[in-house]
Amino acid sequence: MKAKIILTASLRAVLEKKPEVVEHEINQPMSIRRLLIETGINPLIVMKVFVDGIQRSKEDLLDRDVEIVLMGPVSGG
Amino acid sequence: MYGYAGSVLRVNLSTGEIRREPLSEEMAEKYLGGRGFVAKMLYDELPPDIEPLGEKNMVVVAAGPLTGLFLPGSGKTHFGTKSPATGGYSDSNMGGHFGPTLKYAGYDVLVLTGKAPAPCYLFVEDEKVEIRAADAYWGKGAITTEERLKNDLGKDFQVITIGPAGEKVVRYACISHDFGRQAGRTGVGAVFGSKNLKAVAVKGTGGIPIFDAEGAYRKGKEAYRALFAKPGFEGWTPEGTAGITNWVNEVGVFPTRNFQTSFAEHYKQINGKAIIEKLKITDKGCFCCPIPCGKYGHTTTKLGSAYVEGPEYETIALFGGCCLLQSIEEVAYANHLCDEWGIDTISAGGVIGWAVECFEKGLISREQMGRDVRFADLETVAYLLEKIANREGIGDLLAEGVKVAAQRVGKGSDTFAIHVKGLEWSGYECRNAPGMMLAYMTADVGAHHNRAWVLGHDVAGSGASVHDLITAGGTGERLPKSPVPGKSAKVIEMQHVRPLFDALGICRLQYMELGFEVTHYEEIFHLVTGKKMSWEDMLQVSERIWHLTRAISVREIEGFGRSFDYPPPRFYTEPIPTGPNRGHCLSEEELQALLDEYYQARGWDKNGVPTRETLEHIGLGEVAADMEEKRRKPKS
Repeated sequence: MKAKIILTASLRAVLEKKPEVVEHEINQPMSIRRLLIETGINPLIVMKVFVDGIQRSKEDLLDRDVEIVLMGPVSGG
Repeated sequence: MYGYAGSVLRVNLSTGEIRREPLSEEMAEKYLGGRGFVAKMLYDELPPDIEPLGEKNMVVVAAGPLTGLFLPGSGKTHFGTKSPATGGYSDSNMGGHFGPTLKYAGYDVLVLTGKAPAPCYLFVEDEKVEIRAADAYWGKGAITTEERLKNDLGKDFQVITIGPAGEKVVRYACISHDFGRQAGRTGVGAVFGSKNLKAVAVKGTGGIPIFDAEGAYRKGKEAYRALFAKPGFEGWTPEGTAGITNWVNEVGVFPTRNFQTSFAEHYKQINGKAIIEKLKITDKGCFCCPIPCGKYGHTTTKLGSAYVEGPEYETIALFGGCCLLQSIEEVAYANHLCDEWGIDTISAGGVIGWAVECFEKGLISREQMGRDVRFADLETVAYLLEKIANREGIGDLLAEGVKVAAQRVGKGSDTFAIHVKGLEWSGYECRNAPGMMLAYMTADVGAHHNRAWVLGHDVAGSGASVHDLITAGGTGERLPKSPVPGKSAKVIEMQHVRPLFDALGICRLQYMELGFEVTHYEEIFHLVTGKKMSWEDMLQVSERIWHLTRAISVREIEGFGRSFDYPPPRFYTEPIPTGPNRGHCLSEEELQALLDEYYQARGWDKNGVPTRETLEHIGLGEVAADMEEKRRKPKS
């Protein structure tokens, strides 16, 4: 299974060395949180996760090819 | 001059004199606009030794070179004055539509001086400028006043108003606009009130001269398309800034119960999702903005119901966290009350949180308070807001702000008066976020987050183990301590980047949150003004403004220096008791180390005063000369 992970600007502002797109092979179903750790993305600084356009929890399991958008923390107004 | 309306409108409310003068091209080149104009004009023109609420204070209202254009987020207006809250430099930024309309009327800057003999409002319709009686509006709520003025003058007018709190010169009274936007911080509304100025109504039918209008329009369309394609574009809008509420609790930085702790059990009742499910009618945005962060809705509580824009995250933090209101409906209702009274929600929430803690500790009696007060009680919040706005009973003390109130109450209440320089702390608890702590300590206007927001870096740098990463997030696991050294570089970088947008006159959210490329701003700036400035050139202007605002506070506040950059004692004496950051606290030694590192990186002396060398290097040689001679700039 393949995960295409897209990091928004607010996340890349913190993870300065990460590219905008990270692709990762998933060998077995795993939580989004575990996927983030495996790709070197600290889940603590991921504010929101969108899987194929739908907001999901970091505890949700991934078991198919997905496109994931990660939003970093945004400062309040 | 392209990109600018080309004029400064000066109104002396004492004499009734109204004067127009050309905008200085030299000032535009050196300071861009918006916050830059505010800082430069306050430095040059503030008379020496004045009281912020006295007749001689001035208010500068400025747009920027990118305000009012076909460009995402081009609706910003900047306000500046000598702050009633801190006594030093202050500014406040506002969204909406006022700045563009001011430029269309022919003015980049509005300068207000003096004091009107009776309540008034300023009427501006292109070249027609009049000071008009405000009897019909004085005493009315800020939102109500705007509605009435637009009904009386026409819906094409853009209006800024103060509420009763501004009229009573509550030191954190705000300026309101567009039924829910504010120039919220530092008490600019109180300065309006001290001048008997209720509102400014502007209609503009002119245009802005553009160097390459066709190119700028084409570039604007390209910019919008680029923004629509950004990842996160669709994810940002539904909850706006309230979308961070879950995260701040999961990483333990949510100000709770007057910053006693940093995690609120009820955070899911007051988050962005709660707004969508229980309040929101529509998204509401500013001039030309495609990512509307405003959430307009309706709330119903036991005290009443109201239409309200909000709450933003900061209001959630200070009323839902600091005051512990238990539902989004109650937070929204508190927001509505502040909007009508014309009070900054951040300072109000902080002051009320302090007052309730004083009451719990027996430092303010029931007799003094007027009734029992408690956390998690909307009636307490509503009662105290009304008292504050009218300066009645305990409200007269609380209207002075938490720093002065704590000085007067004494008995150790200053240890939990959460402010820096007299400005109440906004929505992030930082005892395990040393970078953000430093950002708050060194923000030029006082404890405000918007200059440098580096919380993500603090959390990312905490060195959490894999175990922590798997299980942390409000689940009971404790996060490791975030390292202290090395924070100043990122804070300084952000202190140049974020306020730059205030000088350009546009919103920073498109860049900060969605990664709108800086090349867009460089190209648009050239197409609009005909001048070439790289992003680095613009950042240098922002750095110049930073040193200038520091110099203004050095001049205006007796003894200003290092001690004014200290956070409240709670933050270095009381470990956080609960939540993911429990047990953490910065020591006083660590705070001093943060300041030492920062001052050195800034080129300031050990007392936090810019050195001559630094000022000359950044193009402020005249400021260096003034500081060394310890004299004020003469009134122009």
